[in-house]
Amino acid sequence: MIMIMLSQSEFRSVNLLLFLMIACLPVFSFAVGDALVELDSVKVDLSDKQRILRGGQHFQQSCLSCHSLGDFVNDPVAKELGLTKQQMPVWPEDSWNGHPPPDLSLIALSMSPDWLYTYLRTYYVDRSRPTGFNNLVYPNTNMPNPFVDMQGRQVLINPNYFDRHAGHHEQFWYRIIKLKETGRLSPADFDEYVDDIVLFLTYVSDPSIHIRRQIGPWVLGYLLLFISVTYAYFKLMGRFYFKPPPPHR
Amino acid sequence: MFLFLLASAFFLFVILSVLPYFRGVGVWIDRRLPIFSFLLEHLTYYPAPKNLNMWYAFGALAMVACVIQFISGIWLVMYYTPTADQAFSSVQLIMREVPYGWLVRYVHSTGVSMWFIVVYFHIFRGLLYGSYKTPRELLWMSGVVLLFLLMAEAYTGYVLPWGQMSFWASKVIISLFSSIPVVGNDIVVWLQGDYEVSGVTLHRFFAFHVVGFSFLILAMIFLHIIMLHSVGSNNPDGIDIMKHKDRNGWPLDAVPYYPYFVMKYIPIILFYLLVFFIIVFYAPTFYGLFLEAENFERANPLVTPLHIKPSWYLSPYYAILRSIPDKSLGALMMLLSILLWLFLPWLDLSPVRSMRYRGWMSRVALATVVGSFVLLGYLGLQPAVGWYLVMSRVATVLYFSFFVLIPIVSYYDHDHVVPERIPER
Repeated sequence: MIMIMLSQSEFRSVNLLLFLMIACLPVFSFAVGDALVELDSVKVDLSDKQRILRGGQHFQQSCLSCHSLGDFVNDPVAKELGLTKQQMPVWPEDSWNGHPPPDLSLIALSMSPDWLYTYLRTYYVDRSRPTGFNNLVYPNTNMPNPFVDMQGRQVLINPNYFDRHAGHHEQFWYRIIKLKETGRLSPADFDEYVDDIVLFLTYVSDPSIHIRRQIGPWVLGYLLLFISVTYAYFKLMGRFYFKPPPPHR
Repeated sequence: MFLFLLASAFFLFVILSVLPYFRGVGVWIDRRLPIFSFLLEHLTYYPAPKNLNMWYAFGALAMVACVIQFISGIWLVMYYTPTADQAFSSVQLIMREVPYGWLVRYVHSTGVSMWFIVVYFHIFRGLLYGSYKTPRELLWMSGVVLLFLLMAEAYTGYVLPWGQMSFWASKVIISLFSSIPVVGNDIVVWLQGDYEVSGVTLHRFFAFHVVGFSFLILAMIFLHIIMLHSVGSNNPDGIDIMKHKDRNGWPLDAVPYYPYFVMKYIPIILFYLLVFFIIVFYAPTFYGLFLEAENFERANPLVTPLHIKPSWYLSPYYAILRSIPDKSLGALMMLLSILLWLFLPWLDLSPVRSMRYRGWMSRVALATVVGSFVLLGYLGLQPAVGWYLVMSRVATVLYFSFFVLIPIVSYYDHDHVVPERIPER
């Protein structure tokens, strides 16, 4: 009885659902995308400690004037670099028109290393912005281009990009902007400079990665050994466990 | 090293050889606190059907997952601060400054996802072998309640790191209560402890997570096991082993749980730990599925994230909620998508338990509900636009059609003949 009642109410709700489904088919919706261009993939090799330190020096040179690394100060690498809490800027909430430069302690986890690597290299000249530069990965970013003297100036060569209905979104960035005047560093050197910073920030986001890689193989090896011993024991035990009992006398 | 091994072997020998002389102590304790006879009854001499397979390990694994969460949780509470301005940085304190704090935190965050994987497989096992059918209806229902409690526990815990997604996901889920007629808005305020999701909400969710739901889960697990052991385990053939017993009352198709099944499941539990620690050591965020990228940003009530999405284990229900245009109806269907499972023992009319002896129609019905659930899980993590929305509506209809179809299908299905005894393989 209950069953029949339930199934009937079920039929009713499914009918309602079908009706709603058909009613909502013409609902028009726009697609929203996060990254407007394909992100370059960056190889993050966290075993290279010299490179992490070099990235830290680059960070002190290019980023530390505005961005802090509040959670990182007690790390051994921060001590080696001489990073202290006193060096880090503190911004009031209402500075920079309400958008103060964020703390970068977790930036490589909240955005990805690929995102950072592409973002830092895709500034282009845009006179309509107050800083004179715009960005492809993060359009209308508030951050001024920190690498003008190193990278040089990139300009837009494909304005069609912004006409998103023409199907030009999600392209490779180098089809949209081009380097016009080179800066202090060659393009290859500049890429490596940014790469070092991204590597450093990836390390900063989760310094446990070193010790994880160190003890991981031991833990997994121990478990593998333990699995093989217990499995062998089970197999040996099972061989005689299900033997038929001796005939009853 | 060799001396150490020799010494420990010697001590083991000494302890084992004097142990029989202390038998009286054990008897003395057992007459006052029947812990040893309890263990003997429920672990050593529990009659387990001899054909239990790998699927039956997921129950034990769920227990292991529970213990892992409790132990790692205790250590996290020691350093975590449940206030709006301290919560996020106290998690970073655990990750960076507390010795091996990162391990405890990653174990806890990986543990919840692994617990859900195990529980979903455990439920699938129940559906596959008809473990919900008589006499195990209450056992099944307690399991559904446990799933509900587990989701509540996971959700309250997800709010605690106080990242962007913690804040906004909690806002979305709490707002669902406002669709309750008459008292909805009062319940929302009561849950939040404030007119907005705020530090007060965080603090009371901390209480729910650490004391409230966790102890309810423990109590329900206890009941779940008591119910299991009073009716006995089902088995892959779905045959009632209690029908054929020997002269001592021991079921002929059963073997004692120890040593055979304990030794069978220990390598499986260790394999589970192996997978667990591969994730903990090499991919703790699991590509944004176990720890979402958005949650590494401090909660900001002024900035709404682009896509608000729940954790993967709640995404099927979220997909159902979003696929229905009306919010109240969506919340109701989301609730029903779990609560309808309570009635499954009475919706399934087949006399046969296991899928091994069921006809093709029951198998198709099971495949439909499992397939649509997995599809909904995928779609719940995608933005609800275009084809994703259409597909999630189709999957929702398929999911609920299971509950309509199963009485018909199980009644008219061409089942095979179930043998009296468990067949030898």
